[in-house]
Amino acid sequence: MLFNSYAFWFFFAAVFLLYRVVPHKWQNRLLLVASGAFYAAWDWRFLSLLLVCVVANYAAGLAIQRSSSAARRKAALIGACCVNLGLLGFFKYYGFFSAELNALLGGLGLAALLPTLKIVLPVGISFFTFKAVSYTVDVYRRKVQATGNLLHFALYIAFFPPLLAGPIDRAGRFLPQVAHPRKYGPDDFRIGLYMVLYGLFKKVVIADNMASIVNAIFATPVAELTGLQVLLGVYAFAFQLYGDFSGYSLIARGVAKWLGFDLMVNFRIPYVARTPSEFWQRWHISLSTWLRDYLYIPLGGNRKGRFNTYRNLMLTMALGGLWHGAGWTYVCWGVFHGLILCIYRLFERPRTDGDSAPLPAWRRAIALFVMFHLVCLGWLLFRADSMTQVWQMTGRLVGDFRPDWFAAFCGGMLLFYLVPMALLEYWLHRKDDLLALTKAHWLPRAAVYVYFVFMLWFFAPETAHAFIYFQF
Amino acid sequence: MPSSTSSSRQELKVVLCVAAALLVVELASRAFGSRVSKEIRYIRTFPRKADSLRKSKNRRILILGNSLTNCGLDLPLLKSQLPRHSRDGFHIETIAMDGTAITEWYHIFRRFFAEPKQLPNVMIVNFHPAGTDAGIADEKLVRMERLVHYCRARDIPQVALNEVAGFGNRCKFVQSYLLASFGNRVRFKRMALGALGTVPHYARGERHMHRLAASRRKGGRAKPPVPTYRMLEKLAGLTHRCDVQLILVAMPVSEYVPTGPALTRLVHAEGLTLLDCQKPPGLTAEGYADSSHLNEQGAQIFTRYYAERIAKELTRESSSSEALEPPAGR
Repeated sequence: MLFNSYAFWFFFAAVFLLYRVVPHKWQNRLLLVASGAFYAAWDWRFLSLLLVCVVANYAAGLAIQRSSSAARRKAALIGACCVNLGLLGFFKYYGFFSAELNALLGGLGLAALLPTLKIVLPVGISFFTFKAVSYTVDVYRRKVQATGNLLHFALYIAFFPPLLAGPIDRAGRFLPQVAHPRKYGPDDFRIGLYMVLYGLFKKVVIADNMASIVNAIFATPVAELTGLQVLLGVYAFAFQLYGDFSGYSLIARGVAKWLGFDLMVNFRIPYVARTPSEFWQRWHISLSTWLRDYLYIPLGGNRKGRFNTYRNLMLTMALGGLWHGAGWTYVCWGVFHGLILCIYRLFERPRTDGDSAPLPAWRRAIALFVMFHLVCLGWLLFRADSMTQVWQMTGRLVGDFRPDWFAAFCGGMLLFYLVPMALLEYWLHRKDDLLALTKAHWLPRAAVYVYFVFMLWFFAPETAHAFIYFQF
Repeated sequence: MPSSTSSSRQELKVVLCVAAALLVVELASRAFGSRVSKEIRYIRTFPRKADSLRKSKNRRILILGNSLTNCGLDLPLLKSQLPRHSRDGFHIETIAMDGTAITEWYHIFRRFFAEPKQLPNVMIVNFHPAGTDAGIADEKLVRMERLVHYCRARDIPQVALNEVAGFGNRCKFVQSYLLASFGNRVRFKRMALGALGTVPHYARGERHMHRLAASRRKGGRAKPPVPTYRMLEKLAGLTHRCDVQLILVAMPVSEYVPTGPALTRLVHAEGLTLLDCQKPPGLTAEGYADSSHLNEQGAQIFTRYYAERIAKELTRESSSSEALEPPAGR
């Protein structure tokens, strides 16, 4: 059941109608049943994984909370983390690591150590296991009270809007919303409508149309591509990924809003970032803050000298890359971002009182241009099928910028689809408010909504694509 | 409460504006759809063609096909050639739209010829002999924006259930039937991006991307899917009931495609006539515009051959199945 499918909206309409007529206690039960059905629609067998994750972390949370012994608290935390990371490790990484290890042993003339298994990746596993880890660690750190209500905890892990691709919300924000009766105001409908419409526009119009261009360019043998085609293909992928993922997050937040929940912001116009650290404060915020709080800071953060700071940055980003997928291109993508974070940090001037004046516009524009292209270079690693393709495409990017009919076609498509969205996002950025449109006069808002609906009606590709981040 | 009331009112205005805009687009689609789209204009000529067949005193022939027929068959030449091989008089009507295949041909025949009882004596289906997509094997994707034009309200549930796969596609099909603007969205997109020149080389780019996507799909499959012929079976059943002779013609393509066992079995079981016209004598590589479409020179050669084979078939007393081996001289 994709957010961009009819099945989901029929499902949601039925859940929503029922949800609005039952009392709070039943609302939570209904949401849990609906979440189970939503997940089972993908593969009912993996409901057992969700169940294991819920029960193990619920029990660990209570054990940590109730125990006064530091050793027992730690043991419960380690036990829960083993369950979470064990599930993630087995289902997501076993195939990759066993293949790599066996290849290494084979290279040394030794027999394969691990059997090769064909494991189906349970959709959303990276998201719900990370939610579970954050809960258990927060209880251990005494930042969050462990909940004694299994239903509430199960709903935190399995709540269907963000279940498959985030945002990875924290228990401290979410559990109180589950526990207290929801209050509805006209703003909930207005904001939810904006999020759902804009999210669908980003996914269906932007991401899915960019996907056709990206797939065409990345499926063509590199020798047949010009540098300009590769560049346009990478630009298209940058916006495909952004539209796809931020679209999912927005729809999840909009649907949750209609159900009376506030989910955290996951994207904050990331392509206006001027430095790598700003980019990560704007892109997949729920993951980058998770990595910061549960990996970078426990590793020592920037408190233990320069070398350790760089080491921690590299480790965090490499593991962040691996989180995205079991493949070397993802690890390299993470390492690349770690590197640019370190390089920018190395050349960063310490701020003084005289630095309070903003940078001149031309310097901001150059910084934005450079950062966007560095991010695009990273996306090339992210999208390529192999490192060979990365090298070949990068080689093409260095020269051969002759324009041809296909580059003109791709350029035209990019301009047609992206310019209106870029203008809207620039306006939101200038207003420094992601919800500025919901506060605008009804007439311009109606004009923008008419544009969204019109584009969804006429310019959606014939075949809907699944969300890219489901595979992570 | 006043601020929340005014907020609700404002949101209502926004929603009404969107609804009004959609209504305007819908009305414009209904009013101008046929003027804008060549395809819809063409579909609207089908009842006239059926009526003209009905009124004819001669032997009535209906030819169904797609771009292979449009490029490969010279209709005036065919009309002049057929009487040379037969003493009968003929009235020929052709319905050939690019990209059509068995599902649409079945529904065109059902809706415009079988149901109003405006039947031809003979129906010839010219098909691409290679597997799926432009031939007589069942298709994976049905062009819903055209299919809705062959359906009446009472046909919708049955067609949606039988011909359209998947819940989402069925919803789209019903929506396309109910809302002309939605049904015409593909045509509108093509016009906005291509015909108006918004995106340079739009049509060529789309074709290029389709080709790449198709070759990627093929590359990803371990082996090609086995073709099925459920729709052809339905068409054969319908023509039997209507007492219409059905002739299947495998059109020329640059690489010869042998008839598969499933089709051979069906042809024998249903007593159909299958003419393998893939290799007309004298047709060489110069006669092709691309791997499947003939150019003008190829069309001349093929049409003469086609007329001869059709006439021979029509003058045969028995319409039993012909041997499926390719004709001599190949």
